[in-house]
Amino acid sequence: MLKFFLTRVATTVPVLLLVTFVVFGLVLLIPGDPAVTIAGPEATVEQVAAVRERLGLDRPMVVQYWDWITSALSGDLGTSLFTSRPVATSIGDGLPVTLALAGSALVISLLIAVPTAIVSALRRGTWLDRISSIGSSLGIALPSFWLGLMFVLLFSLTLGWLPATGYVPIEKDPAAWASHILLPALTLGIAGAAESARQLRGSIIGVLQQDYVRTARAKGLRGRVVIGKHVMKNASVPLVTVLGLQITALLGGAVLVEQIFGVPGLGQVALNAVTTRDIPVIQGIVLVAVLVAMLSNLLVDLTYGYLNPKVRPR
Amino acid sequence: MTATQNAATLTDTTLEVDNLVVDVLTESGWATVVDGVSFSVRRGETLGIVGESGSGKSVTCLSIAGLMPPKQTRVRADTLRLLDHDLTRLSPKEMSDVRGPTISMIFQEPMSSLNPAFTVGDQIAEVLRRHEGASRRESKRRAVELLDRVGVPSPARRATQYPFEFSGGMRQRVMIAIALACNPDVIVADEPTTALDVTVQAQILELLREIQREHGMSVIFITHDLGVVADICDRVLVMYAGQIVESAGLDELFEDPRHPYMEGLLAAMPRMDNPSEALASIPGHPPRVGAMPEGCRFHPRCRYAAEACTGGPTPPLELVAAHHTTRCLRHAELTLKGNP
Repeated sequence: MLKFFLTRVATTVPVLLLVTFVVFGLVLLIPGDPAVTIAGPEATVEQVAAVRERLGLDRPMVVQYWDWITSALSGDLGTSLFTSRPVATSIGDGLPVTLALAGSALVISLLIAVPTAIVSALRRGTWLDRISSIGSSLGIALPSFWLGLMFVLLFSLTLGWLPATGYVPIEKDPAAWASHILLPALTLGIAGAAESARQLRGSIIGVLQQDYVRTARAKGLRGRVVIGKHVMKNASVPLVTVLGLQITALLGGAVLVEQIFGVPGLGQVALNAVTTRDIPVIQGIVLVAVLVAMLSNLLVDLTYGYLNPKVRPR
Repeated sequence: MTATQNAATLTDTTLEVDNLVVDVLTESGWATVVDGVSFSVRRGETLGIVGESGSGKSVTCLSIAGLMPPKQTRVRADTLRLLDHDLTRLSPKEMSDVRGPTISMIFQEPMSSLNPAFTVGDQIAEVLRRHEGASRRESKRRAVELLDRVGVPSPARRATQYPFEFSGGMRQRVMIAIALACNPDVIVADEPTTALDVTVQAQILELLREIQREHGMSVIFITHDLGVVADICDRVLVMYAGQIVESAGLDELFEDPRHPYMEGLLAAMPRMDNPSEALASIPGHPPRVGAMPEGCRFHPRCRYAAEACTGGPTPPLELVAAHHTTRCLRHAELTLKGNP
């Protein structure tokens, strides 16, 4: 397992390097000259040139890349062109909030998906199964901004159970954190829950027909052991694939949900940076997002290794 | 166990089945796939159940063990007694207490009958934990012992490996270790050697024979291979289209078959002493479920079929000698060829 882990980690290094090229190059492809934007519409050609020189945008690309990558490695992602705050600080403030939101959304979606999938797979064709499959279709089809507004209307404005907007860091007050994160996380997680439930239901039904499930029953194992151990470990493989894809989607979805609920996460920072063409911030955020995505893929692969012994190298 | 006790238990009936009827849900509604099967098995005896695919031999045994899917199956029987358990009255939960320590099963496909995601040792050990309350350590130790008993080399190392690291024959040994774990009174072996090479097949049969000698359990051996039957069984039931058509002791059945279907099966068996002889086959196909012929169910394929065989109710099982029954109307007139 250790060998598997190390080889898997080693293979991420070249990928990561490639990603830095793309991240750096991508920004150059975006139309519009940041120097022009910063200098303002009234600026003369000389003023624009001065700004460009100050920012180092006139130097060869390779030099710019080398500068960027070496400082990025030491944790310096540059300074925002507009707020003059270090990019690392902006990301450092927003990232934990976004990760907390995405993580809670993932947990909530699994808490919904796993029991739903088990019940509907075991009660296939009954009204319970039909209700949950209608629920899944709705969960996938309904846009999150609409769902979010409905949740706010119901749980905050009508029932008054949960706050509508805002965020409290967990280290300050865990209870307040939970009450603030619940609605956004539910909004963000519900589409994933529906997708996971549907996927897991299908794979449970497939696994239930396997001979080894009959063997497990023939051993006289209790129903919950047959399902919880013998069926679930095999049926989880496709679910893990789906979860790996969902983690990246959750980061994207977080941008929208953070806006609706006024959560001060990375989404806010990203949105501002994109509208103002704040290149260092965009680069920093994309790099961090890619890192998170790669880490989650690594986690997915390691989970495969746990679930399916054939994947592990011998 | 003393000698007198041993003699007494040898004649004990471990499993008694009377008038077992199994219906399964098909696309066109409920269909009867096992129709009035009755038999009993004594301690220490190996009972063979022979028949073509679809004759109901596996369904019979899966139904007894409560392993048919409940929503698509209806099981009825006048008697279904396993030692002192009345299986017709047990709840699914009570039934799961019986499977393992009292009745256990070995299945046909050693490739797919073991869970690919757990080590072989764990799959044996969990039976001991479930039924005997063994601790993790104790069950692990005994799993290694069981692997050793069924002839898996370097059992301690093999116990930590996964099924895909085993060959077909070795996997079937693991299945036998699982079935043997709680020392059951009845083992049902459902075509355990069909998927294996001939040499491996012989080894597995030898292992089953040895284990039975050692533990004195009853074995129900389901197969379509008469060669295997001749090798291992004491007594044989022949099934056709969901019914028993003949039952007898092994030698009597082979020397003096009393049902044309059994004669046909024997004629289709390759013979070592005369390999040049062309193999006969029974013409036609077994009837489809839900489309059983009137009269004798075998008559469309029977070369001895007479007018009386083609209509009316299915002929009853008749006793033709001590412990020998047949479902053939014409058994008294016919002289059938055996394969001694």
